[in-house]
Amino acid sequence: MSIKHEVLNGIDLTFLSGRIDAQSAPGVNEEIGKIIDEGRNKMLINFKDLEYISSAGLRVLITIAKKLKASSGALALCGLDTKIYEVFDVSGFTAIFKIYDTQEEALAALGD
Amino acid sequence: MTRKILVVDDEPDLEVLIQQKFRRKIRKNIFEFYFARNGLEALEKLRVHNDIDMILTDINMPQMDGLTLLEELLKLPVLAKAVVVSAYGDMDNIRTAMNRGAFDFLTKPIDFGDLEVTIDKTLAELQELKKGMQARDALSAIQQEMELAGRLQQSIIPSEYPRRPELSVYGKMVPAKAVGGDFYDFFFIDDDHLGLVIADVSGKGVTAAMFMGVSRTLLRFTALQGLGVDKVLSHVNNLLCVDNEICMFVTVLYGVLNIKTGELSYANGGHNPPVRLRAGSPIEILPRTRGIALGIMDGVAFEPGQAVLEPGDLLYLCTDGMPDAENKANEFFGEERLMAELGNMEEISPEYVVNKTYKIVTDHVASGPQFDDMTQLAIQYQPNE
Repeated sequence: MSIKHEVLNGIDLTFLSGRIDAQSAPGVNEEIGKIIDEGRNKMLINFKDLEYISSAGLRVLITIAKKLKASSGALALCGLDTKIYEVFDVSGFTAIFKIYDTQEEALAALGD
Repeated sequence: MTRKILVVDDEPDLEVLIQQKFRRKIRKNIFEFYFARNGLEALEKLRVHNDIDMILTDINMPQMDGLTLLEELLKLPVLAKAVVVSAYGDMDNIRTAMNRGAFDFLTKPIDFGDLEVTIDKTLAELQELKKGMQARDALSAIQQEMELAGRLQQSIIPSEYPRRPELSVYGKMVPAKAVGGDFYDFFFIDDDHLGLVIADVSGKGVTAAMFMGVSRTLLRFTALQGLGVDKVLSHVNNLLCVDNEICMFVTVLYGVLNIKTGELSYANGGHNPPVRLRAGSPIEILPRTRGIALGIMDGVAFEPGQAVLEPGDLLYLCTDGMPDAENKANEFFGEERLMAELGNMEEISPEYVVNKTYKIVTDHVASGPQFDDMTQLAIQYQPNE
């Protein structure tokens, strides 16, 4: 699991790669939590290099989404491959998260 | 806390010197010194004061020498660390002392500055050792606690299967840790209706297990009110959303089977849909109905689904610990393989299908670690038998 973070057009862009499971999920929560605590509230998470996400990982995403919502922010996701999209779809999370195919679409939506 | 040091030397002057050099620390109760004139006396002192932290011992003494004392110390249940005092250059004795468990050595004549450093270092080491032992004891207490929790958890998962001729049921829950977040459940709502639950709480371990306990109880209690399957899930979802600060959630498949007619209604809270196995036919994955994992968003609606089981049909439910099981090379068992194996069963009975699938999946994992709880539930409808 590794996390890369940059700011693009005023939007915090985070790349998650590898596996988010029960072991790595707390680290993701902490890293992204730090960014939100700094008062940043528009966030895009790019999943293009993510291999696997477990339910503990999904829980972290919900925590992040709730945190952003509380600070009137927004969260979008992009770059989900078929298998990861399936995980979101089965659990019903496609209805909760704003999910875009490409980073450009997501950035445009968040920029509005 | 006063640290207790036993000084073993046949030279009476040393006692006077030590009392003198360490008088401040003795007065402030930082150190308390005990003195013995030989190994035998030292052992007697240790018998009386078994909380002595450190032993400073000479080597050549009458009755019992320092090296023999070290040997005797190894047999005693004391934590005390020993430091030997030897003549300068007496490497043979020093080596022997170290091999017998001495922690350090000093040379004569004693340099009191060096002695003080050595005492501090030795006591610090002992402190670390004690901390390590306390941590180990605490850990073993937690492990025992977890083991008990695991047994409690297995005991609230039903192991008695309904004795009804129309029906055969079998389930298996194998947690990845001592306790898990998966569960299955079944219960009669009335004479003809069997409620079925399979669920997977996010994460695993203690937090998941606690949320599992709450979810299972709410589900069973709500289900027994006899509401429609969709209403049961939306009701339980609303209850789980209250005060759910750490955003735990549970995916649930809840079904009700009419054992007179084979009619099945089910609702899906973000779980894999049920699979139907029928002798001589390909498997059928029942349609995925709309819904999301419970505990995340209150007020959401769930879409009920319907199916009719024919006599002999088997309904198979599992958690994602089955398809997501990985071997050492991080290769998933996979949904496709799982479906293929289910379609390839030599015998269609709940116990056979569950145990066979478990065996195939664990064969795939082989010596790799189990990452997730693995849970299965199978129900066969057999009204004519």
